[in-house]
Amino acid sequence: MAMVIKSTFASTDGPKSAIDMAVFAAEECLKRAGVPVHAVDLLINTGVFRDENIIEPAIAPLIQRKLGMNLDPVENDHLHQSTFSFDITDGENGFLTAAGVARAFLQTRQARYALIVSGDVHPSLTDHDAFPFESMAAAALLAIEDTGRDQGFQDFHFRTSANGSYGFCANVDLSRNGLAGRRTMSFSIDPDYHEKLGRFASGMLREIFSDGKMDPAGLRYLLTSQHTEAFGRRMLDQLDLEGAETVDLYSLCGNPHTSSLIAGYDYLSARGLLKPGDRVLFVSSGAGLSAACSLYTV
Amino acid sequence: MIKAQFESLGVYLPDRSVSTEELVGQMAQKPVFDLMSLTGIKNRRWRGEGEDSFTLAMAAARECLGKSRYRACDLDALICTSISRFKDGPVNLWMKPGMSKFLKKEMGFRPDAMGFDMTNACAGMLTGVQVLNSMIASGMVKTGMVVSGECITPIAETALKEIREPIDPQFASLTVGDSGAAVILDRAEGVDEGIEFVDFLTIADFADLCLAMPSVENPGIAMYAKSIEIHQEVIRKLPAIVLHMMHKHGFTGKDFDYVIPHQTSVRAIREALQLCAKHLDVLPEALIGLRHFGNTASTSHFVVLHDQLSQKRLKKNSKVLFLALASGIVIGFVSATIGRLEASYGYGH
Repeated sequence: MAMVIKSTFASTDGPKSAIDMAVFAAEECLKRAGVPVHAVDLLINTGVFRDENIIEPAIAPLIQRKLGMNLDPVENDHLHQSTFSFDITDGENGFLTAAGVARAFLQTRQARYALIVSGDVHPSLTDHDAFPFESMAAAALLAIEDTGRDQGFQDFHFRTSANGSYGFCANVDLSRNGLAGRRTMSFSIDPDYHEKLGRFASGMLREIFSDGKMDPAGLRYLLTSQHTEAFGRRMLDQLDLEGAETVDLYSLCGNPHTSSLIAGYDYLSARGLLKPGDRVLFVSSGAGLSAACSLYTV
Repeated sequence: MIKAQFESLGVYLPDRSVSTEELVGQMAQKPVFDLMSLTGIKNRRWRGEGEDSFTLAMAAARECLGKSRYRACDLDALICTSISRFKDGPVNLWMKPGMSKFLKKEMGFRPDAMGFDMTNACAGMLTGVQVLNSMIASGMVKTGMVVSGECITPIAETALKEIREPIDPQFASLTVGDSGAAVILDRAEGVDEGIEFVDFLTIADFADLCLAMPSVENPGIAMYAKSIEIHQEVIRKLPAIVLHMMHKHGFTGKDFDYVIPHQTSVRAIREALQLCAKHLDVLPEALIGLRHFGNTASTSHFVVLHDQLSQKRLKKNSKVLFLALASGIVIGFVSATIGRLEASYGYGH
């Protein structure tokens, strides 16, 4: 029994709203899987930057509402089929953190289908020059399956640096931004942030490989966060992972932030590049410094 | 499945107390109702100089670790569930990195421990308990902390400036108080101890009835709540949901010593629980701390529990039903026997 990806969807064509783009991606993802919207028990939103800097409620219930997903189980007399939704905000690592949480829900039979959605917008809902990310809607549908072969996600691993700079900060001091709090966000990025992240994520992987917690042998693809052009390629070189390939989304569309890993998988999947048994290493990295990884067998 | 338990609880409350009378006295448009008798809130704690969501969470986490058998470096996960994510200022909203990253470093968690932010409005801490309980039950982690620092009186400050109507969407903002709370969960020590079940659902049809976001009239944060509509929807739905949960998890009111509802207003809580009473058979004693602390958002259940434990008011090996009601609308149930927590507060067993 393993947690597998039933379907994915990622696109930059979605509406300019963290809520609406997640709805767009969720609908397309469920359509691809042939799973009805009401079958989703667990909905986790992992987008960080959202419409008008809303802090309550969580964004996930607003997405659930627009999806028409088990809206009112009492009125409609279907309390046996409801949805629980919430946000996990962990930057670029959000997908792997949410996937780890989803697996705990699926393994303990509290959910049958978990849908993870993501997407970031500048709070002003415009193409703001200062916004360092590309707005990309993404969704991944996860479920536990027994396919009779080695498949799905292995363990999830996480790292945070014990000291040093956080590398990247995004905040808005509402006391200093007059009446513009709903459309303002300040970004501060260390000059060597991306180089440090590459070294930090590679260091985590080296440690995990040498501890025997993951075997990179036969790795087919390395999917990474998309901080710069060829970020994944440089990691492959640093780790000396011969034979593995990566997807450079950055050169196609910039940095999709929280949607990067789903988008990388979706890129391969939509082009028919994934074969049963292919081993895909997901590795994300971001502010903190922080990183996460998990090995997935198609 | 592995059963989890509440191993330690820490709560931090700022020293300063502000009365409802004092707040109403500052309003240009006085409410047409008696806010104190309607809500049952006499006082609420108010952040001091230099306090914000991060410092409140940190203070609670230190309290929690002080009562625990674990050090921060023993814990496998940290989940921060604050709605208000203010650091380096009471309305300085941090989106990245998450509060958990700051807290992890400050407390000295291991680099390989999980650490993430999770939000679910006022159901945040109990959703964190649900997530951590699931991670322990599945064997993903053995121990972890759920923490929240709620620096939410800034919404009251905005409301004081902006309330103009006798029935105004910012009235609920006057009920809030600041606090921090943290709980550590680990594997239960015995079959009778620990978390028996956790079950949540989101009735998203009403997700937009309460929104908190920066104000466009004054610098700061505001909350706009259609409190009457929310209360009516909860009142209409809660009995059916309680009945469903009773059948699903096999309990009645007799199985619990206490129920801890989300702390909104005394009148709303009493009305909701009375409607549930016909299904529950016996209504467990409701623990309410509104009089002294107001609505402390995602920490509310644990602020009340801490207050009761500190005063040694609870029975030994109490079995408690935590009832989450939050914007979303989120409704959740956590059933737990809290003998280990009682021991950490000096109860003799």
